[in-house]
Amino acid sequence: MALQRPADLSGAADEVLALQAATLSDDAAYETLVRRHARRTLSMLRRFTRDPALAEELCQETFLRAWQKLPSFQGQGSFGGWLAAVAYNVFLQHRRRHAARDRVTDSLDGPDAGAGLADRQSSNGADTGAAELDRLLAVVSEDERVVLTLSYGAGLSATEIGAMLGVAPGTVKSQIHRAKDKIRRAFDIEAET
Amino acid sequence: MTGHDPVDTLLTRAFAADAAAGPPDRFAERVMARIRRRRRLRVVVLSAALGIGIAVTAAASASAIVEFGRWLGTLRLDGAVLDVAAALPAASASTWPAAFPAAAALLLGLLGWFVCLDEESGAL
Repeated sequence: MALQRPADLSGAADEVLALQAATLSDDAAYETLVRRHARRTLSMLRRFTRDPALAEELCQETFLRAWQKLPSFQGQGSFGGWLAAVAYNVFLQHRRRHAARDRVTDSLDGPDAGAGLADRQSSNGADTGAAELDRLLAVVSEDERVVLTLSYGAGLSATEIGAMLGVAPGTVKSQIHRAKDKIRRAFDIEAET
Repeated sequence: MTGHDPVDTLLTRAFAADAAAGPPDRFAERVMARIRRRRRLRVVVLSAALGIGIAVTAAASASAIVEFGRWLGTLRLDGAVLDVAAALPAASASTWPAAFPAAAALLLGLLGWFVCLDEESGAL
């Protein structure tokens, strides 16, 4: 993995940029990584938190934490997968800190609450993509939402998700399957033939 | 997890549309600004630790020198060589308790400073 000159950064692989940022304290390399992964990371955290402002705050924290932990990124696996794990840990830490408040929030959750959020966003003309996703994820459990987000949102494999959550890949696959079944039933979607 | 399952398609499309919203303006710049601030703060904290270490060591050293001088003075004034055995532990007892934490503080400060410098130069 040859290190890149600043002019080449936009085309450099994530792993090269991460190595460059870690070994040379290259801010430009890290900024390129932030630009490249901010969209997906923020989307993922929006799904976890269901609070856009909090998601943005945690997204910043994720990139800050990732910068501190960069030397531990050995280039095994994708940078995106590693960053998703950092983001998930930041989210978990936040949730633990605010456990009491989250319990209250969770009690308000459920299909109706999620649908309400989606309806509000739609009626306000807000992002319809977010609204549709809110509607879909409102019918699955918290664990299933996390797994679906890591799978479809972050593009991680069942093995990567399993390693991150400390469960077997088979468990991840069955959680995804169960979640998809719930969505299928809730929205009356015909199963594949 | 690709394939022709309609739920798959729905989820893939919904996640893609959600991600299209993107981060707010100047998000990357704000992240980098926080990183630089954190870096500067670390330098300030470690410098302060080093400064305190040096100050404590200097104060303890001065105290130790004064104690040592006093002990020498006692020896010379009394001219009692036999008192050395009694005076030495007394001098040590007053000097070492102050010198140990001071030396430890200085070492920790120096260590922190070198760690900080190493990190700044990307050596860690």
